[in-house]
Amino acid sequence: MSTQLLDQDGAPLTDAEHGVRVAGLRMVFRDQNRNEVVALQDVDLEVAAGEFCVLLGPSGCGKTTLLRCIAGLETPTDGSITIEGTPAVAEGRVLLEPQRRPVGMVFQSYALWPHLTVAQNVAYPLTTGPRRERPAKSEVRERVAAVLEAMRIPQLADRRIGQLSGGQQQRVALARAVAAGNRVVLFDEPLSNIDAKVREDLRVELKTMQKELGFTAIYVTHDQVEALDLADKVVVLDHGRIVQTGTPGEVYFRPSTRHVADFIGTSNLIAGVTRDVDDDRVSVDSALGMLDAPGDGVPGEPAVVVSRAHDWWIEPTDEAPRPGWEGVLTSLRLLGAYTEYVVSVGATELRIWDRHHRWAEAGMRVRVGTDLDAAWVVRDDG
Amino acid sequence: MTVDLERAAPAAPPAPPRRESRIWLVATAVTAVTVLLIVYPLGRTVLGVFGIGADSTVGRIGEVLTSGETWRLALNTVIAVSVGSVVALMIGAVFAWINERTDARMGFAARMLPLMPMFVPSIASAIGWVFLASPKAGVLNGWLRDVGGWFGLEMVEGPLNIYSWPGLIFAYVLFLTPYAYLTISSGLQSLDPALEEASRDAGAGALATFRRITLPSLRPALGASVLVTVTMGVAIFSIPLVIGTPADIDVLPVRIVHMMTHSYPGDIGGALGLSLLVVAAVGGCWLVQRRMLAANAHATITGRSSAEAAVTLGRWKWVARSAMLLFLLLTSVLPLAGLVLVSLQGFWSAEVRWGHLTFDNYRYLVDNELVWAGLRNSLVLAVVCASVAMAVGVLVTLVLARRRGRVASTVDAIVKVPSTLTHIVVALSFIVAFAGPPFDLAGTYLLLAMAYVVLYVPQATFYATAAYHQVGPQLSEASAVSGAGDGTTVRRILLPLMAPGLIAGWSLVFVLMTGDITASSMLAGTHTPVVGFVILDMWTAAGYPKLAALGVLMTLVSSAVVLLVMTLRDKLLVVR
Ligand SMILES: Nc1ncnc2c1ncn2[C@@H]1O[C@H](COP(=O)(O)OP(=O)(O)OP(=O)(O)O)[C@@H](O)[C@H]1O
Ligand SMILES: [Mg+2]
Repeated sequence: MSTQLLDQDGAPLTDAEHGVRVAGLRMVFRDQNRNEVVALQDVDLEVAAGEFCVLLGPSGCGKTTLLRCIAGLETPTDGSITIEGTPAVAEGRVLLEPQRRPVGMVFQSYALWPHLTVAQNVAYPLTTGPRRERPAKSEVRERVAAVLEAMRIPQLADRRIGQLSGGQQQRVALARAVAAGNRVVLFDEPLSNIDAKVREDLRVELKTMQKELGFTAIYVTHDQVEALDLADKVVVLDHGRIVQTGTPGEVYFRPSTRHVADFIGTSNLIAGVTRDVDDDRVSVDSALGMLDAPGDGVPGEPAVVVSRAHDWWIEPTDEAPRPGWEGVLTSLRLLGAYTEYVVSVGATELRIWDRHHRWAEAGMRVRVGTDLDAAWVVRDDG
Repeated sequence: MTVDLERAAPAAPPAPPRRESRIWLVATAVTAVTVLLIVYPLGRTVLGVFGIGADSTVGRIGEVLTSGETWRLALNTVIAVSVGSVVALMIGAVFAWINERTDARMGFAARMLPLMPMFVPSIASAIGWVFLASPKAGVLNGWLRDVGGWFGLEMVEGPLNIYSWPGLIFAYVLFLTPYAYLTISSGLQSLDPALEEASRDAGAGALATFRRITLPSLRPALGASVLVTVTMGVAIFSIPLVIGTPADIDVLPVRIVHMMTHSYPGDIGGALGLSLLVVAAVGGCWLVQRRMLAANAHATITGRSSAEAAVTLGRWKWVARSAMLLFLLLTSVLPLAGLVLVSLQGFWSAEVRWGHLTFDNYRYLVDNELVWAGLRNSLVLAVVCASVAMAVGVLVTLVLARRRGRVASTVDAIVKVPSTLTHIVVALSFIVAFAGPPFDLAGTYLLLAMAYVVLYVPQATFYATAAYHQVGPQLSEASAVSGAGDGTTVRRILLPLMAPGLIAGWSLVFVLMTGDITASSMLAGTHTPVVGFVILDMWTAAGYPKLAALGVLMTLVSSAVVLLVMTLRDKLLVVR
């Protein structure tokens, strides 16, 4: 099942020779009024060969722009990009046009060509090179069949694009992106047009195929669940800058800033001032009293205790008291697998995801609490 | 499962220096030549007007501009065009509103109205109306007199008289309304109906809403249609020639062509003097339109018109629909019927002698060498020139899509010049620039072909640009990422996807070229005949039934091409 990356002579590529490296990238647009819009700045990024890297961030943070710079569809203002060991952009100068970069791309709209069949779409990248280097017709046919087989859609070969479902189009787009043997495939929110259930299935499949074919993936999304599920490496962007890079676990459980914590997952952000730092444990003076949790902090500086909504419990006040806080249940929403309770403790509003309790009613007094060992303290950047 | 994809992994080659794809060289060169072909003749003409260069025309221009005769012509033109435009605007606006906003909407009428000028060439329609409504021999008049006779009304002529001010303005209105309709209906399409619904919810009636909300927010579209109708109106030559001249109503375009063709060598100075007035009229309108746009720059709202927003017209629905059908009847069926009836008879009279219908006139057309040559030349020229013009349109579009900035917007403006400055002026400048030394192209097909291409490049570019924008940038980007160079992307992705729009554009340009009268009258001759030239020649020389037969033939060719191309395009679209 496994495939190994080989170069032309059949020798394995070394790590330094492939993957994508972006350094000091900066992209400035001008709007109609000639005002500068800084879409990217100081972006340094290294994606190793075969790695699945997800770019995550709120709308307008520059994800698409970064991806388009790597594909060659946008010329960065400054910085350099190296793809598979070949410099593509150096100091804002384009060295490789998009058609000469060993990169495939899956667009958000798929951008499949409606005048061609599925097979013709997939065959296209195989037939665009210089005439001498093009594979023979029979070889093209074989390769297309192999790729469609790999995408589990051989039966669609002769269909027109207009006759495909969203999920099928997504597979065709991926097939086209990998057909020419591209080592790097870029994805711009490829699943955002597909309904939730199918999206989950496709995600699993996409990850399997990426490991099977062994290409390097750079995947843009603003959906954190998608990011955590797919990624080997998550890169969180905000306002054109990279704010954190790490494994899904690191980004989720050890966010680097308040922004990252706020963006990924649903958390209670309890603001305060760091009092004491002791061996990875930080004491924060907050509206809920002195909170003692792992994390980073500098004594005297503002800090935020990030505590996930699902790490909290809620119970009626008449039970044997556990250590926690008393407050008023202001509202509750049944969200399927869990219920979201909003509880006011003094001026602090807490969001708590717990199982559904029959006794719970808006307006009643409740006790709430959490395990602070699962919380994380970050500096307050906003 | 093993997937054999690794082999294709291209070993990274040392990046060779970037080079421009060949397609950009071609596109840039063609764009440059086109710009030159527009700018050079006009530039040379303007220099002449200012007395610079070999073809100084200052003296004669002064003479013409100070003569009382000129001002009489100008006044006639202003009356005909302004009254015609105002009425056309009103009818066009009402029809557009009916089709875009009310339950009287008719898909058929909405589709056909803007196409009317393509089905029936303006000269054929004008001649058709002469046959129907000239005071003595008009076929329609004959029938009306018969009907009058049953009620004891005896008439020797009339009651209709096409050779009169009302008759001339009627013909202008028929000609201009489709253009007014087109601009206003596209304005309505991009206007959010929610505004109007709000007004109706507030208790205003349908008409009050139209007058108080819809009309004011349509100001940009109205401005555009004023510009279009006036530009078309001051330049149209066939209608006033056929209807105005016998009625002793002379207008500028007729006199300009007359000055160029009725003496040898043509009176270029005189024609240029009159053309200045035409340019002034168009320029004035352009300024008015700019002001209407500026005043409204922030009030335009774009949205999608929804079917539920339709105004219910009640009993008026049938009135509205009948009015639209009547209009279609007046612009196409009736004049064509007039032409057919006259073409099937030995001579033209108010009485149709049903027993004596004959195809002799058509046989004459086929046998007459000049006519046959004119038909053949027109078709060949139109096929060639429409293709060239569309190719130019596509290349210009590609260049403009890729390059932004001052050069691009200048090119964009220059390419639109032939339609903004009116055909009559551009054709005139072609004579000034190319007829004499050093080119000596007078009386050649090359001159005619160049003029056709340049005159219709604006329409071709318009259609090519619309087709280009329908494709959307990602499909081209996907091709580039798939390893295709720019030339390959254009050939294998862009052109096939633009094809339906390009075909529609080609057919429009083809029809306009075959029906062209203005350039043909000045640039063609007995040695280089085209249909436009032949029909004018027959208007003065041959018998009316033969003229009618040629009109029918022209209409059939136009309609056939348009219908054929429309079905072809629908087929192409269905395949998707
Ligand atoms: N062609 C352009 N001209 C001007 N500004 C642009 C252009 N393209 C992008 N921008 C701006 O650059 C910023 C980043 O845009 P980008 O499309 O990369 O965001 P994104 O992270 O992909 O957002 P989304 O999740 O909504 O797709 C935005 O502020 C956007 O307005
Ligand atoms: Mg985006």
